[in-house]
Parts: sequence; structure tokens; C-alpha cells
Amino acid sequence: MPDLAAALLHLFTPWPFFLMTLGTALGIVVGAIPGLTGSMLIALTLPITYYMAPIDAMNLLVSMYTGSITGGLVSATLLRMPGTPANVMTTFDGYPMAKRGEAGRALGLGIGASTFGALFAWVALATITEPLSRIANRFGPFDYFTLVVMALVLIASVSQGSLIKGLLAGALGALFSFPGADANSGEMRFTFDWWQLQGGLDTLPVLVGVFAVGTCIGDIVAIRERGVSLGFSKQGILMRWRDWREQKWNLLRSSLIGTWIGILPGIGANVGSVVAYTVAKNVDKDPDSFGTGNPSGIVASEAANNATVGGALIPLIAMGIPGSVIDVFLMGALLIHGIQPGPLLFQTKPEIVNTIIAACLVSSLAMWVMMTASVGWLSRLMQVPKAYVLPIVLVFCVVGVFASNSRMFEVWVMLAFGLLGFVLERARIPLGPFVIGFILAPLAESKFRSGMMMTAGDWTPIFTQPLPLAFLLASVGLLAWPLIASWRARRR
Amino acid sequence: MDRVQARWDLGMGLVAIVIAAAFLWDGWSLPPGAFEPIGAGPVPRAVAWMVIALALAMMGEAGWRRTQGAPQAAALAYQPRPVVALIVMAGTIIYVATMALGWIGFAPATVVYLTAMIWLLADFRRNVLPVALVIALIMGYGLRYLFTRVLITDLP
Repeated sequence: MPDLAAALLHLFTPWPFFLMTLGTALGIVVGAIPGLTGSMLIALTLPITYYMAPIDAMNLLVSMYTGSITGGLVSATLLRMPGTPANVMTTFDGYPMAKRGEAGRALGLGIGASTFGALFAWVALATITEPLSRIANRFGPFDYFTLVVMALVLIASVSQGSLIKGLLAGALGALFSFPGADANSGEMRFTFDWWQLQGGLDTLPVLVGVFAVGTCIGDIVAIRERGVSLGFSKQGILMRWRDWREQKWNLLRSSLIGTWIGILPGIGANVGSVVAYTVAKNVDKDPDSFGTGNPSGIVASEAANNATVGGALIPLIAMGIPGSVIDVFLMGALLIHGIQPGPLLFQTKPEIVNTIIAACLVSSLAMWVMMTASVGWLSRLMQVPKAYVLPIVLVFCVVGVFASNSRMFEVWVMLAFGLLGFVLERARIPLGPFVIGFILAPLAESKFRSGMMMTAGDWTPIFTQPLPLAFLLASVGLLAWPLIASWRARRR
Repeated sequence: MDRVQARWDLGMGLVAIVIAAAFLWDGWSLPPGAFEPIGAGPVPRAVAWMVIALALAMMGEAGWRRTQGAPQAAALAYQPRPVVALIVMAGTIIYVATMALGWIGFAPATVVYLTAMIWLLADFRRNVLPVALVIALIMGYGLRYLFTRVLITDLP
């Protein structure tokens, strides 16, 4: 705790404070512009973080993460276009409220709930992470291997679309992580006689390609898509005491759901807000009013999606497993600086851990101040024509990826993965499992092979030791559940 | 699932199978492990087979839905512009290629690229052109200054 207090104080010194403010503000702006996402922003910022100290880099990126999840609330409410996928559920009640002249109140509820959710999850982040990392420290190779398998199955099973597509995305992502020198034996593999592939596919061009370039292509195809813009007045932008009182259980429940879903490896804000919204609707006295401008819908969605930010950081720090897609980028930033996220991080780099936790808290508070103060300006900014934004984003992609390694090959890799990302999205194959597969497959392979070395080729401990068996059974359950659910639905 | 989606699923399934087949072909000759029970090949090969199986399952599902008379795609609220996206991608490839071949420096290439792309995406409206040019000049020369003078790094 003294270290955390020191990290908090450090954030209030000029340079870290500037980075935190800049990160939160950029996150909010990017989140508010439909088509641009937090993943895109963080992917484009990664190359710049090469030139920063690791704690500054994490401060900036975590602040962007916090801001981007909340920024999407504005366009979801005023344009009926969620700024980021995490705000889809907010659209259902935010827009109808704005339509009947309560835009300020809808945004006020969203901002208040976002801040509450973020702070709730921060408490979990600050208290659970270290004990969890101590438990994870005792994990053996097969424990880790089966945990990663479970994470991949989990994200595939809850991703948008069919289970098969989610699994296919994860397996494809894993496949692309294999080229280069084998970490265990040094053997060159899958280089297809290209010397440039001997070092493998770098994380940055793949992530920037899939998320930034792929999204840009998709946005250009849909460039004529327009939201239905509504007027905005600031009345009700501060959540009223009565609203806090009426929504207290909804706030607590949705924040808890968001935090828990964030902790589950691989799934993040999108799923968190859907689950919290569905639960809020099911327990409400008037479920039919959901979707017609019920304040509880906005509160549930926004509290949960912001709570996933803190929740998702827990498995990243404690186990080295990203809790959401954006955490993949944070993991990438740590790896760029030669820092291996995982249970040893608390011992080897406590200042990094404390900076992440402190930045999560301070940026959540900064987010509340900035959103409340700038929401009117944001409502105008989100109408900025995509014709100006998208080519600039593409230039940033090229420059950022080239600057990371000074190799043109990386830029070609980025463009190729941009096309792949677009095609995957068009075929409704989710990108989340793809990037998580790409990031986690080397870890899974290396743990599996270490385990096999330790047991002289015997893989039965996967089925006989309690922890691997539990993770494996959970994976089987996650795979079987959609089939059981569809069978039950057909019977009904 | 509509017919267009079914076609995308079939196409993407084929792409996935080709990718996995390339990995299987290249990984076939990998030797078994010398100091460990399994070598560099088995895990990637298992994943490649998994990709093939899942792609076939996806294609089978799409094909089955097509035979069941999948509905026409629902009309979109906007006019999609795939050709414009293709032109922008082609433009981006040319932009990168000209810099890779050393034909043109970063700043002028960026100015030309940004002006052309912004104007294209804005449907060649005449009043957009000067704004596009100003943005392009700021971006081209501004980024060159930022990366070469402030961050001291290479540019394409």
C-alpha cells in the first residue's frame, strides 16, 4: 500500500499528470467518434511508447483505455451510434431519452454510472490482484497451459456470432504466432524461406493491422452511414441525488458483474455491458420499458462496461493473461519494454504494477471531470467527417509501425493483416479471439512443452492433477454450453 | 444468415484452409525434438488441423443454410462503398511502395496521399480540396519534424 500511495503521488507530478490527462482526453475523444475505437488509439500509440519510460507508457495507455470506454456514451446517446462496441447497450435507452428531450440527464446518468463502475472495479483491482498473483505463482506448466486454453475457449464462446467462428478466429491467430525461431529448440519454422520471418511476426504490425487498418477499411465501406443527430442541452448532466438513491442496487450489481466479467480472461466491456443490461432488465419491475428510455438501462450498461476496465487488468497483472482485447495492447506495451506480465511482476517490477493501479484510479476521476465539462463540445466533435479522419489514421499506422523497427517489411505485414482483419470482420469472425490467440499461443505452447519435459513426455497430469482438470472441464463446459442452450431453446 | 453472409463464410473458410495447408506443408519437414519429448512441429501442426476442421465446419454450416433457402440480405440504411475502400487500399499500397523504393520522401508522399484520399472520400467536393491540402501539409511536414527532430527516429 505505501508503494501504491507513492505511485498515486507520482501521478500528480507534472509530466505523469500531463500524460494521464492527455491519455484520458484522447481516449474520450476517440471513443466519442463512431468508427474509432480505444483499441485503435492504443495500437497507434504503442510505437510512441517505445520512447517513454515503462511507467509513463503504462500511465498513458491505461488512461486512454479508461477514457475510450466512456467516450462512446456520447454518440450512443445523441447519434444512436455507439462510439465503441462497449456502448451498444447504452444506445437502446440513451437515444430514446435524448429523443424526448432528456439528453443531458441520459448523459449525466451514463457519466455517473461509468465513474461508479470504474471506482468499484478499482477497489477489486487494488485488493485482489496481489493475492491472486501469489496463487498464480504456484501454477505449474500444465496449470498454465490449461488456463490459457480455457481463456481461448472462453473468449471464443462469448464472442459475437457462432462458437465455430470464435474458435476458428482463435486458432487462426495462434497459427500466425508460430513463424520464426522456435523458443524451445531454436529451430526455424514456418518462415516460407523469407529471412524477414526468422524473427517471427511482430506483435505491433499484426495488432495495428487487424484493429486499425482493418477497421479503417470497414469504416470507408460504410462512410455514408450517418447517425440520427439530436440536439443537446446540459440540463441534468450532474446525476441527481434521487437518481443515485434509486439506482444504488443497479449500480452495485452492474459494477460487480462488470468487474467479474472483466476478471474472466479474454472477455471485456462488450460482454460485461450486455450481461449487466440483461440482468437489470430481468430484475426490473417494468422490463418492457427497457429499450424505450429507461434510465436503469443506461446505468447498467455504463457501470458494467467501465467496471470491466479495472477487472480486466487483474488477470493481466496477476497471471499475464489479458482480461480483454485492449489488455492485449497493454501486454504488448509491457513486452516492448522487455517486461513479462505475470505473477512475478509484483516482485520484479512493483513500480509498474502500482502505476497501472494508480493510473486506473486517477484517470477514472479525471474522466468524470472531463466528460462532465466537455460533453457539449464532444457532441459537436463526434460529427467530424470520417473523410478527414480515416486517411490520417492510415498515415499514423504506416509511420508508427515503421518507426517501431525501421523496417518496411513490418508495414507490408500490417497492410496484409489489415486486409485479413477486414475480411474476418466482414465474415463476422470476431477479432478478439484472433488477437488473443496470437498473443497467448506461444505461452500455451511453451508451457505445454515445459510440462512435457518435466514429465518425460507424459501428458496424463493434465487429467489427473486437480487444477488442470478443473480448467479443462471448464473449457469443455464452455464449449458444450451453447449447444445445450440451443437444444433447450429448440425444445421450448 | 443471409445469402451474402453464407458466401462470405464459404470464402473465408477457403482462405483459412489455404493458410492452414501452407503451414502444414511448411511444417511437415520439421524434425522431432532432440532434447524434449515433442519438437517444434507438433503443436503448430495440431493447430493447423484444428483450423481446417473448424473452417470445414463453418463452410458446412453456411452451405447447409444456403440449401435451406437463406433469405436475401436485409437492405442497409446507407450505400456501402467497397470500390472506394479498394481504391484507398490501392492508394495506400502505392504510397508505401513509392517510399519503400525510395522514389519519393516521406513528407511529399504523405502530402500527395492525404490530399488525394481526403478528396476522394469527400466525393471530390471542390471546397474540401484546400482544407485537405492544408491538413496534408501539416501532417506530412509536421510528422517529419516530430519523428526526425523530436523523437530522433527513421521515417520511411
